[in-house]
Amino acid sequence: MQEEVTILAEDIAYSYDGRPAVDHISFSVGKGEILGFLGPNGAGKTTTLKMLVGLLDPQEGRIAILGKDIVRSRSEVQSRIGVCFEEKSLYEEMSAAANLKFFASLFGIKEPGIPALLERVGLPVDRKDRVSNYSKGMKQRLMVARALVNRPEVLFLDEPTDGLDPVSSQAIREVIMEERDKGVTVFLTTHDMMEADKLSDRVAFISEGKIAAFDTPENLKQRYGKRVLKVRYREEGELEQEEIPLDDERAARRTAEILAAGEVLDMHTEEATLEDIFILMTGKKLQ
Amino acid sequence: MNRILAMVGKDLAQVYRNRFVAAISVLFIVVYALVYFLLPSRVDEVFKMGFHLEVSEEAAAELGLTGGEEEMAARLRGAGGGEAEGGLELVWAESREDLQRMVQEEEVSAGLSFVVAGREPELVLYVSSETPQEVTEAGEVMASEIAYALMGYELPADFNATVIGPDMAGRQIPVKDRLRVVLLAFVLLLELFGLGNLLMEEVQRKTAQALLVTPVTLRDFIAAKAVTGILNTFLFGFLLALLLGAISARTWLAIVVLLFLGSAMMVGIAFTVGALSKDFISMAMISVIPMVVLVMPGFLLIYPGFDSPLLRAIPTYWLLEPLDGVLNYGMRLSDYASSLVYLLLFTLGFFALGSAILRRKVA
Repeated sequence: MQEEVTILAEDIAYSYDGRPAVDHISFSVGKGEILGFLGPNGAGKTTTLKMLVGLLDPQEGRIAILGKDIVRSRSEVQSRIGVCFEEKSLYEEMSAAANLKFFASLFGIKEPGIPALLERVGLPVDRKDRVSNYSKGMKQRLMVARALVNRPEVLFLDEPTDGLDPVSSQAIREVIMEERDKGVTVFLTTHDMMEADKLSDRVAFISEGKIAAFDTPENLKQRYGKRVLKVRYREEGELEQEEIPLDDERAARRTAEILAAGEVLDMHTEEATLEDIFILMTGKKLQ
Repeated sequence: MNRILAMVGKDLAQVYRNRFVAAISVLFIVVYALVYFLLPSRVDEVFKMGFHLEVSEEAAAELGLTGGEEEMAARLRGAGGGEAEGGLELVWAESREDLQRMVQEEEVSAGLSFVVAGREPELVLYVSSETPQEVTEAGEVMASEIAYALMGYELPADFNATVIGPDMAGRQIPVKDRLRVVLLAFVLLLELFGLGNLLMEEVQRKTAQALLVTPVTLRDFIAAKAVTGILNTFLFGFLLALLLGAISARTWLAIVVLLFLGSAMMVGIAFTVGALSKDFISMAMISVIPMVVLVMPGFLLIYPGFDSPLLRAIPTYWLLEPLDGVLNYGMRLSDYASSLVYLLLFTLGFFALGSAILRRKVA
């Protein structure tokens, strides 16, 4: 984690018709860090994202992106960030290259290097047909390419791999990691805990508009998770299964007893997942 | 400015990539031009005049009309009454009330009541409120001729035309020329579909949101849509005006000003339509409501009797009235200063309302 703060949210709040969607949350994200912002639908992820990218003004608190207040320096900030929404907000009658060229022109970029961008997200460079002919995965890759068109310093990605095939998901994850390696800060909202675990340097759990936890996945697992040893064995002809908590002082003795007494079929350790921890902390499932 | 221009370029390309909207736009222009050129450019040449004749026996004797009413009728027939001849067709009425009804129901262009009860015959010419001034004047000449044919001398008394209904003098314009103004209004109204669809797509597909996380501001976005809408509508309007022969050295400036204001007003309404629509069908359904209302003042041009104070509350009235005056009556734009003020106020009002609704929807 870097010391330089790229995204700073201080006590931000937003309500729809008096119902709080984001309830006074604070967090910061350092340069070159990937923050996984996790929560179920309706938890306040998208509202937080909209405030961070300047689509909504926080009703309370303040947000600074790259050291600039998002409300006061909206255009300046927006010229240095890239945003990829969950919805496929593309001009479907235009080709992929035309979409990228148009968005590049809004940033005043004349030579955005479209072939290289398309190649990077795994899209065909020479396709001239309309985006409406593209598959869901291809459209999502194009959305990611569009978010990169201005070579952003901060990337905001809203559920970037939701509902995609494994190949498309992997392609997008690789791009995210490459950007992180280049020093780009990534704010990733998702309800896919596996993805968050794989990609994020730190994760924030948001539930009912409040941040329930904010730490690295490893720390959260260590603090709240339970490691167990799962053993399946046969005893007097019957199939038996047992979970032995590894942090229990009797774990070694019990494991030895099973190994000595029965015919062990398989044995493996199991770590708590982020989802387990999320449920533990919020009492809610992510879907 | 560059961002606005980039969006305008994209929007115009996007409008015409939608094959339905592009086809409809071109089709409308072609069909409107065809309709205009296929309509007859001449007004009805046969002048149908209703005629009511009433002669007392005493008066007939005094005037030397010993044959009474029948003799007068015979003289009149000799003068061409009863059938179309030389452009005049006389239609007999049973009574003065019957004559008035014929005029009111447009069975005849004018009605002449000729009552001879004393030494000085009473002559009344009835014209309907929709009768053009030229027809009224022609009716007066023909009435004098008929009176001469009957009496054998020119009547000493002058008479004035009695107008049934509000006087709409000066409307001797072929229907196709009146229709020309309505067709221009239709083309402007078509923008409700074009820009309405474009905005609906931007809002529903969330591309507007994608634009607003770039350096594009909401003001840039609205300005770009306004420029696209006005440019598109104005160009179509101007193209049709050219095809319909409405552009001349005398009219071009007035047409440009009126088309521009009309286009801007339609754009304001299209903002509302686009922001409120969920898909193409709902957009088309929502568009029909303002379209039907806004086209109503057009009927006034074709049927002047349709006039009502309520029509003045419809914004397009203040667009069509000066267009009609400039194109069909040789008026100048300055003659319609108050209309332009109303038109400008309506345009600003719709623009502000549409922008506010769109702003709320997109932000």
